[in-house]
Amino acid sequence: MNVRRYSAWSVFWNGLVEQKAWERAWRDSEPKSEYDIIIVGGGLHGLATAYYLAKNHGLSNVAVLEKGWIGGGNAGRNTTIIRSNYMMLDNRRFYEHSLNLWENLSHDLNFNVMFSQRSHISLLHSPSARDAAARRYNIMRLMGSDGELWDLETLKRNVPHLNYGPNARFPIIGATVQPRAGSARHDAVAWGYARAADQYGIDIIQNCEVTGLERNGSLVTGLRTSRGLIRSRQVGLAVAGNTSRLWRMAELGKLPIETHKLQAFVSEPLKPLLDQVLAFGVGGAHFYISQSDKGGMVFGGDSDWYKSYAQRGNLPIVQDVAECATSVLPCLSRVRLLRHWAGVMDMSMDGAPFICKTPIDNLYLNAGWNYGGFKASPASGWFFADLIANNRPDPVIANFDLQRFSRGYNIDERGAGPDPKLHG
Amino acid sequence: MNGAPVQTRNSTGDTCTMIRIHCPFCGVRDHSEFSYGGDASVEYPSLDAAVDDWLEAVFERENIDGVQFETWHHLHGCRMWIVVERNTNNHEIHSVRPAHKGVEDALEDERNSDKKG
Repeated sequence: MNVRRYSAWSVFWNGLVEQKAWERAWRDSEPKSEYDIIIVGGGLHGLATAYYLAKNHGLSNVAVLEKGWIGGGNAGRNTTIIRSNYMMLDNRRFYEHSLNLWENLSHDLNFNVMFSQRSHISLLHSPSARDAAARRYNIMRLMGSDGELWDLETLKRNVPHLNYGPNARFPIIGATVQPRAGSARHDAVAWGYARAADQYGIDIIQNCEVTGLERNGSLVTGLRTSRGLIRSRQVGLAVAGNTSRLWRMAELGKLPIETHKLQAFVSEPLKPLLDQVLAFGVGGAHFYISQSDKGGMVFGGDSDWYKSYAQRGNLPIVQDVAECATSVLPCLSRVRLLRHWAGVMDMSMDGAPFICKTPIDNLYLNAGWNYGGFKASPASGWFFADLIANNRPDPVIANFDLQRFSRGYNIDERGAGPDPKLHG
Repeated sequence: MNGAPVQTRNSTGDTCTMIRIHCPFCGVRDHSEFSYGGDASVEYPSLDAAVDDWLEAVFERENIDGVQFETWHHLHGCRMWIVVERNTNNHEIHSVRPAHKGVEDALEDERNSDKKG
């Protein structure tokens, strides 16, 4: 029997032996001097990439370098929303693949990531918004995904405690819903991928910050790190938020990315209050909320409206998000905040990501996740691993490259134009 | 001193930063009065410039972690555009000036005539 595998039997057995038969979930590895592949960034995208390199491509002489500890960056600084309600072809295919992976992720990783398909509800406030949403959700349905358009009565029956009052600044007239969307436990995703990658022999190296790239002509030969020089045949960057810093180390010039900051909040634990993920966006307001399994209301809103590398949010956004919360769910007005955090994001010029080759032939880029990194992480790892293993992009991610702007090809889901701060 | 982050403490004792921007026309104001423009080092090429020049100006960014020049709009104040020299790691502001050189010169002339008067 594989003693490291979690099962009903392992729970039963540990009950008999005073819980002493559990092993470490994953090793805290020391760096070796050389690997076939190094993934920089031990976030969800980096860990998922390592796992799929081993599982899908049989490549396990791989290291994941993390400057802090895994789960400590944006993996722990998000609102854990999972959905695929995208309309544009590239996003449609990519995020649907990600949602499909989420649906079997706990079994695949042998780790309960607590994926909960509780549905995602986007509130509608005007007939024109309803028309636009109907078009979007019909496109999703035509491409094999799920989507529903709810009238006001259906919405009231499912979520009775929203502000339906006549004095609401933006009266609710209905909603679009993706029933297969939902939420997962962010720490479990990080640990699940780390443990599963570790079981293939992949080294996860924490407290290992990359300080420079070793180059030999047109190739990268290794990385200078806070734990010494580590050589590698191939290097993948998965450091969203800090991509431009590593890009400068590689002396590759500019990127179609700006680093912006997004805050999120969690309240004190409450009894079950909200069964779905709820999104509210109208007239400049932007708000999304769900309830964690521990009872905390997890919510967020707009980004901090100016470029920043500081993992620290500003106060006007706290007020803005609190106003949104109480306008949609007035019952939250006296709930206290428990914690609040900010993460730095790669905001790209069209709101879509990059999973692509770079001007250095054995250096690969995974970046530009904007607001959507958490839900994307399984497919991001899947296709990034495929790109590195086969040295060519899968057709699904062919347009997630750095050259798309020069082709006049924007994947601008919001239609916001080439301004990073607008792609929330 | 044109403006500085004001350090306060939240309920858990962590410091949090509130930026104040010294608008050259209105004085020191909270940054929630301002909207962010973007990287002020970007210079748009002439209308008949090569496509690659426009591509770089519109889509490519240095994304500096450190002190950068950036444009802000005093949207909820005098509605003037200003250039702010700010550290993107800690939000410290080093200088603020009007975005338009002509306006900056006019302000300077006015200050000089005030001194003389």
